Amino acid sequence: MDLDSIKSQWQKADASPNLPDQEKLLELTRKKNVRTASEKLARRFRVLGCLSFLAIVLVRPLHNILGDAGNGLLIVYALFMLLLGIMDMWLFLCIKNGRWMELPIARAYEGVTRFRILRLRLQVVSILLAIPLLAWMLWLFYQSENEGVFIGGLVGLVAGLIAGLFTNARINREIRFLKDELSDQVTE
Amino acid sequence: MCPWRGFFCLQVKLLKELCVQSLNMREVNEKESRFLRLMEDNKRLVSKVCYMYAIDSAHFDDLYQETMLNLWRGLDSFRGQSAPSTWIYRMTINTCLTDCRRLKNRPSAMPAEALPEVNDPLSDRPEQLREMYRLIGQLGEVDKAIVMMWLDELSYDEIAEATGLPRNTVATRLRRAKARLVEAGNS
Repeated sequence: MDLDSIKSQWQKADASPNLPDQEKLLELTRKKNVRTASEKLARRFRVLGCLSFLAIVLVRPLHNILGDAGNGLLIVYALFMLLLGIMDMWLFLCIKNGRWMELPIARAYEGVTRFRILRLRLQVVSILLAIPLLAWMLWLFYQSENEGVFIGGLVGLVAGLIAGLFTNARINREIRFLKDELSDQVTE
Repeated sequence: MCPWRGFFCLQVKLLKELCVQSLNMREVNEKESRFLRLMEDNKRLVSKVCYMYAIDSAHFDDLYQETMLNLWRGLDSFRGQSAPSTWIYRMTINTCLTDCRRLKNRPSAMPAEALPEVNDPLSDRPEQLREMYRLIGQLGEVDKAIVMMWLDELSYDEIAEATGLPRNTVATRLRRAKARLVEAGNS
């Protein structure tokens, strides 16, 4: 297929005649009942952030289970949840302040990809921090001689390690995509 | 306080509110007719671009609606600094690039059998149309945007303005993308 054929096909094309009802959507928009996908995503991170902060209150029931032996663990747990909450709120603010729609296309693409990379990096950080926390928790549960909990914890540890490795590989791939997309080097 | 004075003040207040409301309603109605006119003139452009970035038919509908929402919200800030088609291209492509489904899992190229079903009554050769979409779909995200605008005969300056890339970069990338299209079309 040559360029002229591609051009003529493109100019004749109309991807779908059965488009959503524009006037109905406009009516919903005027009533402010509709949120964009970015707004929903931002809200999700905000909710996750709030949940992470709220999870800090679990320190008390955990202390009742583990007793004084778990004091160090509980402090680390609380700090970990605080950090998780801060990371989620950071991602929420990135989306809110990104204003990608208003940017030129290449800058919007760069902004979105950097957000994706940031999110993946934060995932790796949280997984890597969760692993020693979980290991410590496992050790305390082992000491309490509850086999089911110990095995569940072990499985979680291995799954977290694998997830961290995969996420790290994705980050490297995303960075490579971004470099390829926005590079203007001629390769002739 | 004299009751007549109070009554008179109330009437003035109500009248003021009515004027403000009718002005607002007039503004909203003007905005709506402007928007609907814009969409009527450019819906093919929007639908083609959304199709190029869609994963499946449901995703296409989502992208189209999302684009409409963003165009409606951005309409007030559009003061005609650029051609409407340039502005619409930028908003539509940015909507597709920032789409959440693509943020999560991002296919780099769409195989032909995975494309949403082409339902185009204006096309006399649906297989050629499908082939065209497949060829363009194989390009990178930014190259796809540049090629689509070139296919719609936007000037290099308009493409540079929409993408934010220097004019020479647009020319270079377009040349490479065209070469890739021809090579892929011949193989």
